[in-house]
Amino acid sequence: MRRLRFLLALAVSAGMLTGCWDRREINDVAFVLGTSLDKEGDRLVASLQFPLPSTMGGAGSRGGGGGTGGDKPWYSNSVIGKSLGEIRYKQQRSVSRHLFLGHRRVFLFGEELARSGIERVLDEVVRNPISRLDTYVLVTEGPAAEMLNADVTVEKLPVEKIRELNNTFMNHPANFKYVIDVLNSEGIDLALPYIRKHVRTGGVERDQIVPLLDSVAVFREGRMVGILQGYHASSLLWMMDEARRPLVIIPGPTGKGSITVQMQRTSSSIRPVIRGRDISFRITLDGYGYVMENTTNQDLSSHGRLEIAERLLRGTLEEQAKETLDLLQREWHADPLGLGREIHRHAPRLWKEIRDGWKDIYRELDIAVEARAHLENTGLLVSPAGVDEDESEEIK
Amino acid sequence: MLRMLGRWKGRRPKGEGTSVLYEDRAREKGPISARLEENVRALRQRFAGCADVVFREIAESPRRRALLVFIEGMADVDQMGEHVIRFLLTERSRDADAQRIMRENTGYVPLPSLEATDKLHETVDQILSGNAVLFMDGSEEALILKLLNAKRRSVEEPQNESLIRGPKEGFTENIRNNTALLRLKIKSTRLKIEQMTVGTESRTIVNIAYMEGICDPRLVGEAKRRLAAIRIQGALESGILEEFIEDNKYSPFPQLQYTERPDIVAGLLLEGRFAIFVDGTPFVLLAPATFWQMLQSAEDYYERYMISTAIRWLRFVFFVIAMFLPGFYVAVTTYHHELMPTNLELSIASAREAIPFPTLVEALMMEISFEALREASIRLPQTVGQAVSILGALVIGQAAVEAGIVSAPMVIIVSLTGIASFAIPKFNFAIAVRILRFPVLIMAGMFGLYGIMISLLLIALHLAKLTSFGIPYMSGYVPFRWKDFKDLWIRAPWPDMTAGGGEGGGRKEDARAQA
Repeated sequence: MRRLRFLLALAVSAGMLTGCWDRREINDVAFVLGTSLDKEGDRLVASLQFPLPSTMGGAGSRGGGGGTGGDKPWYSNSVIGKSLGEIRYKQQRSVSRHLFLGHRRVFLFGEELARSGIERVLDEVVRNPISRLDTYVLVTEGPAAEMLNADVTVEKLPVEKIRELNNTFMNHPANFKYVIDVLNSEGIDLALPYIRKHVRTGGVERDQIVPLLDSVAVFREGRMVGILQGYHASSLLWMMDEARRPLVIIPGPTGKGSITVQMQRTSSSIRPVIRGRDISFRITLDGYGYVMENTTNQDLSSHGRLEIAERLLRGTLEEQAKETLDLLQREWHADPLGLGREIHRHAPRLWKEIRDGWKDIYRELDIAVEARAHLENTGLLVSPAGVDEDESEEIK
Repeated sequence: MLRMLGRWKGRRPKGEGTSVLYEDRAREKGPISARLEENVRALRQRFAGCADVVFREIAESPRRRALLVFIEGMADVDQMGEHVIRFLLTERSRDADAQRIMRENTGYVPLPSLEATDKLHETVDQILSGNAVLFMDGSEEALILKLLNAKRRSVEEPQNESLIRGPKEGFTENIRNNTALLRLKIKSTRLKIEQMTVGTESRTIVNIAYMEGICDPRLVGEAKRRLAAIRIQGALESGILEEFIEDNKYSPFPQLQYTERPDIVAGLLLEGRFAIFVDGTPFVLLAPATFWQMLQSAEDYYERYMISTAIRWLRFVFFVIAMFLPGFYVAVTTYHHELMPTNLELSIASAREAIPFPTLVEALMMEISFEALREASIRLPQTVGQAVSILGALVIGQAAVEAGIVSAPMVIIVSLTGIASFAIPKFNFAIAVRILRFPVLIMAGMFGLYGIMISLLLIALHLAKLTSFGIPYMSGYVPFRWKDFKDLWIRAPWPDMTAGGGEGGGRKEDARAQA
């Protein structure tokens, strides 16, 4: 009985403790799903986006809510400030709900900010315990805030679309963890997905911005230095072992048409070859693919032709990789593959000696690329229509 | 407030002192007189105001009279007329000496069961038990004629413990019938049934059944000691005895199992437990009971073992859901927003957008209305009960959501919790779980997951400490015994289950090994 009384008194007094409750009803929280950061002169412009639950169409969600989104199911606003801390405060003061960053999925850097360096704004992101490190980090063409209000019809929110695009672009989409890891490491530079502005025309409404993700922004020491597009981007991703089902377009051997190969499983390995102080690299590209389109007049199904096409595929891959590496080495002096880190790992003592002169070594580094990709089948069940067998030319 | 509690507490011992029982003159001891008139007077005095007691005088001969006393409706009147009254009126009886008839009764009265007594208070007891008593002029003894034939319900399928596969018979209110049903299952001389009487007024017959050599005799001794110590006027149901003899009366968890099924009693006796039969109720108590037993059903042992194992795991899962789900929901939606998947969080947010109440209040409201709904539909007649459940489903389930008073996810949580608590086979255990859900909910509303962990710890501590007749409630897990794996976490195939050794050996927590 004495114990019961004690417990009862404890429970009652615990219930009377007010003020130290950190209870926060879900109705009083705004779940920020994406933020963007731009540069305007020497000040920062930050935008945020959160969905409006009342317009999300949940059961019983009539009434309430609001915001400047009009008929859009999200709310976004922009705030200018000198530091992220100041911006965060202003943002909070302009929104009636508690801004909750625990569900932030996408962080966008405007291109201008990215080119001037992203390191100084990362501090707040890492310091804030509720901000999650698996937020995807991307760079946008033009101001990032614009992208937050881009056109989406399929997904509920623009940030959701960007996230989904990113999921199918890289094996392990770059997030804050990756960014911090790279910035804190020696001998590796950042490479972040780069969203281009694609203007959709011909719609009922006025021309709209549609996010298009097919490029990679390359950084050097925290500053963006270049953009890899098209096959350069997918070549870099493949070498980083981040490619997701890349397409390879092989020019037709006789100059007419092309063969498009859809790769299915890709992998890569980067091996440093160190002989004394003589350093070179071997990059192997592996993968399996099938022919997706063939506009040449070659019939790949006849004996031996597939092997020939495979040889062409490997040649194309090696050439594309060489071009990409050339851009990275000679043009931008950026090392997103982390070749320096490879040396650091394989020969730490050697790395200590060459660390200071690494930039110059990297520029002239000999990198051999070997493609071992396989073509598994022609992707055809029957012969394509319209190809005249007689006209097919022999290739060797 | 605390002073009030203290006063309430202080009054309890006083209350115990005032429960002095009414001293009954009818139970005064005394001998039977040789003169019939005196016996008649004494009996009439004791049965004064008892209209159902019949005094049937039989004038055997001018010089000798006999008296039959019995309660109408309890004693078998047909047999009485056929074998007793008829005999008394024969030449043989008329010529015999009354003393001799009493002493050599079996030679005279053609009944299977009868005995003589010279104590008046015993005859009173026997009349109250439904037997007839024969007094004769000139004899200081009376003859007890075992003619009890009270109308009782016949053996039916137990409604509250229905099985898909298994015996369909259930106990009735008649204790002799019940022990007979058990004896039909276990035809062994090792099955012992000991008799006691409990209740100063109800004089309820209580039988303790156990398997000699399987059940620890110290357990039986302890049970008898606890039953004998009961001071109560009427032991009307086994539930009343249960509260007297359980180890910890402050625990929400039942420490004795009850059943109406003879097969369950037989099975548990063979595992080394004992059973307490109480006359007048079909519910038989079984002890020692464990936590695991409460999550098991008789059907587990009759159905194929894979199915039984799967269902057992399902019950473990739903036990946790029944206790913690509403609390977990409240904790996650009000304290730990980062814990939920983003899309789930957003759909809950959109459902909760227009709800005027805090989540905790919403949860309490719904849980309480669910309990009320459940209680209402149990007590009402079946036809009305259906109307209540339709009303409940429509009003609480749909209208409240559409009106924006309660959010749809909360309705799902509450109904899932309700279903989960119904998946627990033992009703009294399920109620304990349902009650504990509320403190967990409030703790979750105050402290989030931290509160849930605290309540989980408190419940786990309590369960680990709890005993049933000295056997740990969590036996097999606390203290852990690997051997028990085959009937705790899984239900092993029968050949493996009995492999542990001997009759019921290796099955469950062997009471012998524990006590």
